[in-house]
Amino acid sequence: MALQKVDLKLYVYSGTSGVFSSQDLKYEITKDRISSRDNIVLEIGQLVKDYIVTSFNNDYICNTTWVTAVVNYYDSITEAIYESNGTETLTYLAFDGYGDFQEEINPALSTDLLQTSINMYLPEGTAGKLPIFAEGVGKVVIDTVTTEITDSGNSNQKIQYLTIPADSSSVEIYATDDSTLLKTVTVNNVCEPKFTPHKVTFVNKLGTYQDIYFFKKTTESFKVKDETYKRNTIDTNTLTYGTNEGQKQRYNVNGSTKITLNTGYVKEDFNSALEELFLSESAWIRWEGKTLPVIISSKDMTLKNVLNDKLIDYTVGFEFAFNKINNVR
Amino acid sequence: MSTKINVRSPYFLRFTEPVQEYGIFICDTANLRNFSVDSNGVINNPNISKGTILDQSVYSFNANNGATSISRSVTYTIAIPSNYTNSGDSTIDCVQTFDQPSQVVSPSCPAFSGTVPNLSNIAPSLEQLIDVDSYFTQGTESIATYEVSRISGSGSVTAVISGTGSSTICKIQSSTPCVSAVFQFKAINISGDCTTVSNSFSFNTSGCVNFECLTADIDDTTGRIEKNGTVHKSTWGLGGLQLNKLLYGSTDITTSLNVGDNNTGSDRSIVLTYRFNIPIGYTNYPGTYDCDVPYFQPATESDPLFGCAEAGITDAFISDSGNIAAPKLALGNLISWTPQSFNEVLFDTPRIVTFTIEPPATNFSNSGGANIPCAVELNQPAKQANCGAVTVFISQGYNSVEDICSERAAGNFWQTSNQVSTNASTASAARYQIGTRMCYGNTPVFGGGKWYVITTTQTTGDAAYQFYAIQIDSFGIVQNSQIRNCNTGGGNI
Repeated sequence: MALQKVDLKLYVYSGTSGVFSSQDLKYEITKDRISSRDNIVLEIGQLVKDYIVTSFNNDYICNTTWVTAVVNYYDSITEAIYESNGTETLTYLAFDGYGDFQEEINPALSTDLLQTSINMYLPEGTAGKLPIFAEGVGKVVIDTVTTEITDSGNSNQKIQYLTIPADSSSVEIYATDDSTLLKTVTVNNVCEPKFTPHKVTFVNKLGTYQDIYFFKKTTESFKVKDETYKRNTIDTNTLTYGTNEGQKQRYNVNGSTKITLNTGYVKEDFNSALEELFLSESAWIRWEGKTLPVIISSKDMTLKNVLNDKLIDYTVGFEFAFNKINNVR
Repeated sequence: MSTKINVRSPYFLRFTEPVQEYGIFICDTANLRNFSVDSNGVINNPNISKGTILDQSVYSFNANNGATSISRSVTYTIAIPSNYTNSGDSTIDCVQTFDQPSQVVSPSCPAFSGTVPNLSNIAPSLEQLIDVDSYFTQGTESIATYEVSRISGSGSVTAVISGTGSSTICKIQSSTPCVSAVFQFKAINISGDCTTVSNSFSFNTSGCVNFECLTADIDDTTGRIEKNGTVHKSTWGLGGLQLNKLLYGSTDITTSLNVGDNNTGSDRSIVLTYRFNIPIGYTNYPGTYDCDVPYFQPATESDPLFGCAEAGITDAFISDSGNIAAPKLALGNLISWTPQSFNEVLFDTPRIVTFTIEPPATNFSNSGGANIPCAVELNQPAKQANCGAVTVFISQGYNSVEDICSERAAGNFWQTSNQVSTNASTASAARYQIGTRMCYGNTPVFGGGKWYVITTTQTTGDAAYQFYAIQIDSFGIVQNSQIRNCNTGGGNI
C-alpha cells in the first residue's frame, strides 16, 4: 500500500468557514507521487493570490478570504481513494501578506496585531486606524476605555480596524482570555503647525491596510510625455503654406505627477513600517479630499538607527498611479 | 484558530499516505460468504473479504442420512487485521450457518461407519498408521479407491494412502513439533459416481509450549530511553509477534512513546512492559503476555548507541520469486544483506535476512565505527502455482508401477477418472515432461510420490497393454515417468 496520487479541489470563498459551493471551486489539481519519495507537495499561495481583492477608498474593508482544499488520496494498489482517511478537508484563511526569508516556509506571522510597528504617528486631533486579527484578540484597551473584540466567524471581519480616538496615547491588545497582554501600541500625537500632513495607506506585510502620516515638507513635481510627427502644410492650389502652421505636430501628450514626502522624526521601531511601504504592491494617498492610488517611486532605502543617525526621518518619493489627463477608456 | 496563508509567499501543502483506520472489525467487515455443508457433511469453508481465518470450531459434520435438512453452524476464528480499532483483540469469532441437505444414498455407494480418531500429541517423525478400509463397507459396487484430503492445517503434516483393498492404510506423520492438520478419507466406488467421506480427524505433534518472555526473545541491547523521555523500543526475535501495548506502569505509551523528562539529576531505572498478543501455536493462546524490560534513563543527554532499532528498518520484503528488496532505513546506510536471495517456495515460509548497516557519521557513540548486522525475519510468500491450461486425466495413485500390474493380476483395470490441468506443453507431452505441475483446478495435486496412470482422455484401460505412468510429488510436480506393459515390461521414458 502506497500513495499513488492526490487530487485537490481548491475552493476560495467569503463568508463562513466551510460553507462553500461548486461556484467557489477555483482550481482542480492532480499530482502523482514521484516514485522515490513518500509524499506529494503542492504550492497554493500563488493560486489563492489571484482571488484576494485589494481595493481601498479610505474605507478599511477586510479582504481576507477562506480557502478550503479538499484532497483525495489514491492508493497505488487499488488505484482508488483510500477507504479510511481517503479524503481530507483543509481550511485556511488567506491574507495578502508575506513572510521574510528568515521566517522560513509557510509563515503564519502575527495572530493579534496586524502591523509590525508598535508605534503610531497621528496628527494631533486626528483619529487613526489599527488593524487586529479578530480570532486572536479578546479585548483592546485604548487608554482606559475597553473594547471587547467579537468574531462572528465571517471572513469580512477577521481583520478589524480599530478606530483610535484623536489624541489617544496607548492601545493595549489582550489575548482571547482577556487577561494576557500581548502588545502595547504607543500612539504619538504629532503637532505640525507648518506643513500639511499627508496620510499614505498601504498593504503591509501582514496583508492589512496601514496608515503612515508624512508630516513634513511635500514637494510636487510634474513630468510630461509626448510624441511628435511631421506634417505637410502646403496648399497645392495656391502653392503656399502658412508660417503659422507648424511643420511638427505634437500628439499623445500626457503627464504624471510625482510627490516627495517626509515623515518627520520617528522612532527606530518605525523602520519596519517604512520597509513594508517600500515592499508594498498597493498604496494610496489621501490628497485633496480624495483617496488616490500611488506607486512608490523610491527604490532605495537606507535604514536609519539612533546610533548612526541620532534622529530618524525618511523621505519617500511617490508617483500618482494615473495620468494627469483623463484618458481612461 | 484558523490557519493563516500569506499569499505573497508560497504556501506548501505536503501530503503523505493517510493512516488507515477502519473502525471496529466485526463479522460484517470480514464478509464471510459461500459457506456451505454438503450432504456428506463436508464443509466448504467461506470466502473472506478482510482478515484471515485462523481456525474453525468444526471441520466436518456427519452425513445427513435423514429425510430433512439439518442446520449446521461453524464458528470461524478470524485474525483482525491491523489499523482497526479492535486490532488489539487479535481475533474475532464469526458464526456461519447452513442447512445441510439430506443425502440420497445410492445402493452402490460405500458406507462409512465408526469414527476415525484424532491423533494428538504425536512425537515428531513418529509415523501413525490408520487402517482406512476398516471404516468403509462397499455397497452393491466394490470400492475402487480411497483418498485422503487435507481439510486444513500445516503442509508439514503428510498423509499418504498405500495398499489396496483391505490392506489400504494411511501413513500420517510430521517431523515438525507443534503443528496440526485435519484430514478426511474418501471411498469411491467403481463407477466413480459415488463418494463417501469419513469424519474429519485431526493430527497434531507434541512439542507445544507456553508462550513466555524467553520465547519473545526481546533483545535488551536494543532500545533505550532518552533524557527527555523519548522511548526507543527494543526489538524482539520472534517473527510475527504482535505488540498489543507498551506500558509504563499502568500508563499506555504505545503511541506517545514517552515516559517524561528525567529531571531527578541522576540516572534512573525505568521498567517498560511489553504486552504481546500470544501467537497461535502456544498452549496459552489466545491472550496477552507481559514482559518487563528494564532501561536506564540518563539525567543528561549523551550520544546513544546506534543499533538496529535506530536504523528503523522498514519495507523490506521477499518476493514470491525469492528476491529480496532493499529496505528503507530511518538512519544509517545500507551496505549489503545476506543471503542475496531464496529459492521459490510453495508455502509461505519465514526467512531471516541479515542487513549490514553503517552507522550515521555523527550523533551516535558508534558513529564512524563498525557496521552493524541486523537480522530481520521476513515472510516469503508462496509462489503461485503455475497449473497451466492443458487437460489430462490421471488414475488413482499407486505406490509403485508394479502395484498397477498387481491390480491387473487381481482383475482390476486402471481408470483415469481424475481430470487435472498441467503446464506441460501438450496433453501427449504431459506423459513424459518431468518437472511440470499437475493441479486440481488451481490446487497442486498432493501426489505423495505415488504413481498415476496418465491419459489424454478419460478412460479405463488394461495394464496388460501399453500405458503411461507418472510419479507426482506432494507439490504436484512430475518427478518421473514410465511407459509400461505388465506383460512385457517397460522403463523410463
